Amino acid sequence: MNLAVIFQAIINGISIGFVYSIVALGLTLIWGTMRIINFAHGDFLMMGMYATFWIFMLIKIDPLLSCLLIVMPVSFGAGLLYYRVILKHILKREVITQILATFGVGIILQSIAMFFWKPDYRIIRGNILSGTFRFVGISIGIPQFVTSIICIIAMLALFYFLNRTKTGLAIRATTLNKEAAALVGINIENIYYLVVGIGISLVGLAGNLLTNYYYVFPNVGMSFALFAYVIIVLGGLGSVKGALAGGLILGIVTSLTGAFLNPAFKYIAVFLVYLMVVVIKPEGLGGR
Amino acid sequence: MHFSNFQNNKTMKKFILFLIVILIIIFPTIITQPYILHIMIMVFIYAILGGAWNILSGYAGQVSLGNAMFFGLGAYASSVLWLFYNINPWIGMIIGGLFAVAFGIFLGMPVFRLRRQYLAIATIAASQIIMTIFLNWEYVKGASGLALPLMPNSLKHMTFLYGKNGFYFISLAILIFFTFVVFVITKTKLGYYFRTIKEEEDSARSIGINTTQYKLVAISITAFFSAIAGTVYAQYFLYIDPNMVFSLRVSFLIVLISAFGGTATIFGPILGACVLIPINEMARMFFGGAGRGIDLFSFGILILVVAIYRPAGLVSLFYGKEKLAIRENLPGKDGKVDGENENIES
Amino acid sequence: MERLMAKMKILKVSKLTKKFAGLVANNSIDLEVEKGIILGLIGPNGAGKTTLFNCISGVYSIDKGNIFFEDRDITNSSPDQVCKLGMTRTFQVVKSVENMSVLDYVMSGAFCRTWNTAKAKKIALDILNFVGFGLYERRDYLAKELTLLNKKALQIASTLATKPKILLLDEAMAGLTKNEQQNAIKLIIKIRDSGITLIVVEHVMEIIMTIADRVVVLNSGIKIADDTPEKVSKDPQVIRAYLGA
Repeated sequence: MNLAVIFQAIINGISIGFVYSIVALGLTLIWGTMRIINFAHGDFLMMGMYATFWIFMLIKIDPLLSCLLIVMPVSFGAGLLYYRVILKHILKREVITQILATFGVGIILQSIAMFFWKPDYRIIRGNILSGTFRFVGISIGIPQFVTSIICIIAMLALFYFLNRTKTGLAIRATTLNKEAAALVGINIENIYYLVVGIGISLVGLAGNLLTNYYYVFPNVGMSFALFAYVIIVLGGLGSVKGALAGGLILGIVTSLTGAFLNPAFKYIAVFLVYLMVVVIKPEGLGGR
Repeated sequence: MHFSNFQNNKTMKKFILFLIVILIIIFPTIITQPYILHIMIMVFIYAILGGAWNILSGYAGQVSLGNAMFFGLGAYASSVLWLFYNINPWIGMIIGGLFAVAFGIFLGMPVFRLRRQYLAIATIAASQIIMTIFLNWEYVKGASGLALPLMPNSLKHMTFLYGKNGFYFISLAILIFFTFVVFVITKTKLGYYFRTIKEEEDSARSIGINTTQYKLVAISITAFFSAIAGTVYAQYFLYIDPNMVFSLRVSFLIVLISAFGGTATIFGPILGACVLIPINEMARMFFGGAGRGIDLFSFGILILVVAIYRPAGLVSLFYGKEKLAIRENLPGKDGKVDGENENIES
Repeated sequence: MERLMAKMKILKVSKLTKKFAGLVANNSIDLEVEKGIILGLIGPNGAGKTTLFNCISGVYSIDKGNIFFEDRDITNSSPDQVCKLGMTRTFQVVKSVENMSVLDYVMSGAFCRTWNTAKAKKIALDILNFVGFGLYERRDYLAKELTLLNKKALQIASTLATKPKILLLDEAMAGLTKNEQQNAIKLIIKIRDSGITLIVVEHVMEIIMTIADRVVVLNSGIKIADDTPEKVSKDPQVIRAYLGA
């Protein structure tokens, strides 16, 4: 057991873990307020990745630049549209109907990607964030490193927003008790719009960052989404800190299993963790 | 909404149903194109799968998004027994069914503590784990899959190398039997208990329902018939691999068929299969690789339309006014929707 | 002989204690219920009445003590086991199905005693007639279409279909108008007269005084009174508990 290898795996795991956390955050916000699990979440991630990719390839705008100026605002808008066209209508439906509707959206997004851009794996080359640097004998990828930094900033911003601004507190109030929030004058539907917008823009952010160093293909959303579901349960539904903790744990677990066992076992490890947590402590680590 | 005499007349519907069954039975004598018969076989198999899912997830309300695991376990169980141990596929089918039941109970015991989406995700997790195991398990040849023994044609060995009629009638017979089972369930204690568990689990316990026990019964029925469908599938194609039988795509197709046709109904899954499976099969045939986007796209649109506009599913097109009102939350008999205050006492 | 029967204790609770993370919701409660009476269970908010119900009916497991139903130890049994033995309860916030018909839901209760669908249907129809409140006429209605009053009646009907020997009613009167309450009282007495023992949790004093044979008073998890309605209403401890210390 080479200590350097373990350490390397952990570093990589932390980096990808931050991305998982960002993805999970959007999911947990939507769940916390609307009690809907967005089964299309991963496919929005995929779209964010493709958007970033093509903006770079066709208009030559680097992902780092397109992130805040193009991808995130557009993702926010997509979120608003998503709520208006789909989520709004399934709020009061049976669970199975909600699952189907969000899943349907995901399938449509996947099929669009498949049709226009084929199942080919694509990777970006020549972007600003590339290369590695060495630190105490460990190789750290520059894109992964910057990604982690940006994710941390994003999470701090979100944390500040949710805890120190009036709107953010309104969102948290809605998560805790919808009826009570409505009674004190919070416009619940506006909250819903906002939360979905934020959730999808977070996923757009994650997609943009990933495109710097990850393969882009129509099904890429799937694995991230599956892990995100596990994370929000691990961390406790509606809990921001839980999403962070869960993301990091999962990132490290998958990275270690990937390094030492057959990469296929990443899935098994993750899902076993999920099954164990829900059976032993259903409220999750964040606990609510 | 046009309510013709047809929709409101029960005897007429039963008669039409009877005619349809007769027609389906004599179908292969009229239409002999192998491709069409192939589609029918796939419709029957998926109708069974959809119906089986419907027991656990439609009637009992425990939504599973990983039913492919039962399907695949059945397929692999009978195939392994046939290939390595020379056990007749019919017997292997029953053994596979029982094996799937055992697995379902084993999975259900911890997992049925969960509700709603938490449970659904757990079923995804379980089926992914199963798939990963089979992809990496040397004994069943991993991702390469199993090629089943090529025997001479015989009913005894569930092998029909030439012509589709054999599997047409086998799968149809199983579907009819299974539909009958569902019908019986809905009319008896099991059916009532399943529905109560789905609707209001907490008070169900207080009126004497051991909810865990009955959920396990539900998953057993689901697992058994899904596994049987798996055996028929394996014997039909004479080849299986983990991606064919365990994938999420299969699980979601099963869910889609039932939901599109109408959950918690006897004919919903059958109807759903009749519409969606031909689309699935034809898209695969005619569009090939790039066209995979198109069949996915149409499925996605169909799912959305049903989920948003007609959650009761396709079956509701055949409902009379009263039944539709019930399923679609329209005004009830008095014209009232929510309970409005009225004078008490009978 | 009849007096002997009347004195039989159908339910006996002995030193029942239930804690929740430091808070003792039920503190060593002793209780005896004779067959065929209406026992009133009262106390200020937070006294532990619903908790006691939940412990007795098996929804909660208890930390200390025993529960005997017809001399049989049912401590920590599950709600469905307890129901099969003959004890069921209603919930304060009406727990009822939405998309099942009135008849079907009551039949689910009836299936507790039989496997036969026709028999269950007959039992259910009889119960619907017995309970009244227009339930029989609305037997094909979906539960979600009912008024609050009818939903409460439905809840009671479904529990009666399990042929209980003892029925625990948790705040059945909540949310009802004075008129509706009178009809509910009539039903409760009708149930008692049919041979079923009742424990009734209620906030409205007048109701308890009218219908209860005996009254038990809880306050902050402890039983502070256990006597006839007249004696309890004059008990200084009870008065103090309600007026606040």
